Amino acid sequence: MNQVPILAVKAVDGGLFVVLFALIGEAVQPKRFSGLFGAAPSVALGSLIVIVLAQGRNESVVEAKGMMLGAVAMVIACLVAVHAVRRWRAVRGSGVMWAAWMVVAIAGYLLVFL
Amino acid sequence: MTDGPQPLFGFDLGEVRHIRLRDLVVRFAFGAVISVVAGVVGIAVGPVAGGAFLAFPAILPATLTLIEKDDGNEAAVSDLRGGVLGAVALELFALVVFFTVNRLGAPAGLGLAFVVWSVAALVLYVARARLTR
Repeated sequence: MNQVPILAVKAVDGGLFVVLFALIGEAVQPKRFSGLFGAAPSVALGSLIVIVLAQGRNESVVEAKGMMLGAVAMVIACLVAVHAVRRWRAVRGSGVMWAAWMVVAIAGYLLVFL
Repeated sequence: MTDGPQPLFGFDLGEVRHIRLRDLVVRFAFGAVISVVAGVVGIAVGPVAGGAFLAFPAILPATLTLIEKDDGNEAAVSDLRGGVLGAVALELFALVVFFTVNRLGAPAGLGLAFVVWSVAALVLYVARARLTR
């Protein structure tokens, strides 16, 4: 199956879901509550819908397994980022957050799935 | 007149009008890029690895930098604390998808997963707010 059109649809779908949740996040207060929407399943919903339509339910279930690992990595990355952003501000702190996510996700993948 | 205690949460549609189009375009771009990255990783490494990227914190940096610019560093940190709770709820979302999509069908499974995320995120937020008061 040609993956390029599927990737293009995932891109548009994912982008739209992110915008939707960003709008909801802007409308809610205070900042700590709106922060919940920064971890909303926006990209996940966008991609899983496309996966189900293009590749079937089983594929989406397998991706959900990986998502469980990714969500654990996200919790740890956000906890690290609380300190990193306070110390080094948002741009560098976000870089540290991404690095933390990659380390945890890759280590977890190697430990659990290989 | 003194201000009362800040409510736990509120909703103000008027805030949506203040969003700059450029900020929405940035967020769209982040969402699109990470969706493609997750798809490419899924093709190259496998669907489990691709699935992990569905929980990559792609959107948070854009949000944090915008909040820090507008409201200061502590507001960005506060937003991140909410992100921790949202990420815990995201774990539940993934679990519900894993266990229900084949049993209930994709629309029901994904819908239930989103409801679970919403309820869990709200419960965690309220519980933390009450504990830290």
